[in-house]
Amino acid sequence: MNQLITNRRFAAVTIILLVLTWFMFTTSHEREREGTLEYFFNTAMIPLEKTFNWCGMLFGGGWNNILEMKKFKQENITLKEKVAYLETRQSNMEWLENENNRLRESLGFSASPLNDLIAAETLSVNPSNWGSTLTINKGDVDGLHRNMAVISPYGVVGRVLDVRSNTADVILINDPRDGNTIGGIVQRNNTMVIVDGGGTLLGECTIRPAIDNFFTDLQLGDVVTTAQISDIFPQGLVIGKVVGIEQGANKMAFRAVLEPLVDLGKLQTLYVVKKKYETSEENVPGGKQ
Amino acid sequence: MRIVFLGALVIISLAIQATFFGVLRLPGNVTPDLVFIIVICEGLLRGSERGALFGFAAGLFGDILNGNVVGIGSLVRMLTGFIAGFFEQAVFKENFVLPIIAVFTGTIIFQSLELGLRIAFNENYRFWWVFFTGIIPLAIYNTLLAPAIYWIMMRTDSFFEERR
Repeated sequence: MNQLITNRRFAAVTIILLVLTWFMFTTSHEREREGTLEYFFNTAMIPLEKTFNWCGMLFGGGWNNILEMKKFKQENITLKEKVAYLETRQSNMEWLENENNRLRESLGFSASPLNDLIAAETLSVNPSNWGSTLTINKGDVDGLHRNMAVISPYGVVGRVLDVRSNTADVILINDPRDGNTIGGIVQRNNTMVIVDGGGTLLGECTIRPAIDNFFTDLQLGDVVTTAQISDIFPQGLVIGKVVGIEQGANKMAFRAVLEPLVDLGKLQTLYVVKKKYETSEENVPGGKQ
Repeated sequence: MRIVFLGALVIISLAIQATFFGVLRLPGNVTPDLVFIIVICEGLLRGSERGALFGFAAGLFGDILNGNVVGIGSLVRMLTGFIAGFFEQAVFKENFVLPIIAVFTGTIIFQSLELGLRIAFNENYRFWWVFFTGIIPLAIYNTLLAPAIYWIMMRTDSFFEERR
């Protein structure tokens, strides 16, 4: 035993194991700020990742363009038709918006602020298979803060996790780490549910009833949107679709699998919600004027 | 000099995993783990001690970039490099059968261990589902890339040996 304790290798391995265990316990919960080493290495990797992205776009993009030239032509014609149609609708919408504002004013409601969005590009994804995070090209200097909602035109993407001066990490809704949770509403019956990242398959989420030990009414294909109570996400954004249900004896679901409607593996441009739209007292009839 | 090469290899591999592989949509929603393959190859070429040390350093770097529970990847890769090192003397280094078998079985055993540890730290995974739909495909992808990586590492290993 004495020999074992004085053995240098044994001592080194023991120290390493103790340090790793300490690391694991101290980093297993979401931290307010990332560590200095994490900040340094993540920032240092950005130029290399940018170069790889550029190479990927140059070679992969160019090759794909050649292969898809015919498809692009057809798509171009369709898009031009769509643009013409949407321009007509847009002018109609502007007229309606003006009228809406006039009516709100005459009724004494304040104008509803639109979500203030910051467009961002994806620089890289998490290199590990055990985490779903992205690095985006906007950071502290662009006004990003921790826990700002990140969305795409198709729905919820995630929230800002760590902010650096020119980049930020976004934790996706399907990341399985402890505490990555969103409050949701089932569109069909307005039932409140909780959406956790991870679960059955990699890339999916899990739905559980909003109250523990309680079953909920869910059906395959149900669409879940963000709930009004969320501190982070604007209300009514699509989170995903129910693709699997685990039922109890009463045929009510106690857990379900949710597939995000946003293709989280193919994100290029996404939007950070700088200012969440809230139904303030001022916007409620009879509220503060 | 060889340490610099290995360091550069890990950094480039992680950058490839974060960019090129990140946009691949392979079945199982997993991408090949180049660093894991490199750790196994290092163990096979240089023995348990070097394998464990390299696995620890590469895993720790990956954990720091990953930003989640720091230490799990490092512990798993350290063990992987250590066990792979037992087979250093087993066959001729030019034989590609051993690295292929080692990467396949190593991915299944040690990625399962990593998954188990992550579940222990409250990450939301369901072991058997992820084992069959995530780890088995990952083992296949890693095995397909193993010969190329082993060849690169073997050639550079002999290059540095000759220069000594």
